[in-house]
Amino acid sequence: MTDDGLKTPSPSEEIEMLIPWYVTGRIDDADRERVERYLEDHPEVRDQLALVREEIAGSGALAEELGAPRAGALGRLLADIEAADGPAIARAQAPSLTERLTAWLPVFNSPALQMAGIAAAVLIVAQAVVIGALVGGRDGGAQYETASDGGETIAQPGTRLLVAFSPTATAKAITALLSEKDATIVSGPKGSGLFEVRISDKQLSEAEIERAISDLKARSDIVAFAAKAQ
Amino acid sequence: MASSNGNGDSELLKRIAAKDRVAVEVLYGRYNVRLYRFILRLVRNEAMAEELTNETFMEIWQVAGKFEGRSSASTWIFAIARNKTISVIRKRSDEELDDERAMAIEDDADTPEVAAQKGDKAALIRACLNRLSSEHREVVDLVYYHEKSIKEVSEIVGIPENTVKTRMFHARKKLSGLMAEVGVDRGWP
Repeated sequence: MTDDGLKTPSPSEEIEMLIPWYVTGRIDDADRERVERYLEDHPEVRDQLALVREEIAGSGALAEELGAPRAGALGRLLADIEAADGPAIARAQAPSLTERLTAWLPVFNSPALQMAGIAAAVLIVAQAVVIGALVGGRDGGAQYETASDGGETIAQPGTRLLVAFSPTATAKAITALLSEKDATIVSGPKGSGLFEVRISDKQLSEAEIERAISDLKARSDIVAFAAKAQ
Repeated sequence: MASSNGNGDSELLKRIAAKDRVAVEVLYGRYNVRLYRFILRLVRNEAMAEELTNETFMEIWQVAGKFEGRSSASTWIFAIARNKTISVIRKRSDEELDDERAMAIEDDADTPEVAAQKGDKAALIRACLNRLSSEHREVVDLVYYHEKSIKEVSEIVGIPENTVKTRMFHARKKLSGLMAEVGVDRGWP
């Protein structure tokens, strides 16, 4: 149904048309005042407010049923960007570990994001997406790596973990933890923040690896995620 | 839900224009689910919705420098998503559209009749919202779920503000009519 050619709405219809926006709060001041004056003069129209709230609830529930993109979608996007534009950082200009960490961490600590109260959720979800792609292997699609990652992991012997650091962890705290554990970041960040961390020059037993993962996870102020690298 | 961090989004677009990949990841985190759902509602195909979501972010990556702040960043982003989606829909064959309509009917949710028999008013509203035309559903989603103003809907859909208001009004009337058909009188209109 199109809305072209409809008869001119009556003055009361004009006001009633604004009620959805009055309820959502996405209405300008002049229109809000018009609606409020009208509601004062026509209290029976207040019933429409409840109807609109029902409709909002229904619309929200339907939207939730639609789900979300599959895990790995962000990785695919970043891979597409890399394919279109080339590596993020030329190998010859690859930054140091500290630079890589500090380049990543300010995003988590952005005042704007903190004010919005979503930074951690956004980035942990983003981490989870990549974790799904790298560890779970669910989507089977291309996996994103930054230019500075390529080839490094193949030549690294020993035992490696995939680690995501807490959104609030500082570079200094991460460096201290790595030093304490005699661990070394060998690549990353991959996709949305996973680092590959070598925790021993030797191949540790499964029990030792589990213990190392538990130790890292116990430092939840610094480590958001840890798992054995595949 | 769906409140947008206006200034933060504009700042992200500036960073994306400067080819800051972290910024595009953050923007993705903010918008991917909302855009995916908005697109999926239009195309009714999950794989296609994912692809179009991805393409929307790719376009944002490529043209973020053209964002001039005349509209909100959120509106600009939704308009890109919509234009891409409508373009794809227009290219689809009638056969594809028929298949998708058939798929859309194969919905696990109750029909309005079943929901009405169960006395489940919330389910009935959902079922009737699902029966609205795509034109009506789109504006209802933008207003209720994405919490867009009249001006923002106008800019995203590309229709005059008065048409936004009348379209929403008639979508709501149609919704009440669908509920009345199964014996539920909402008392309006």
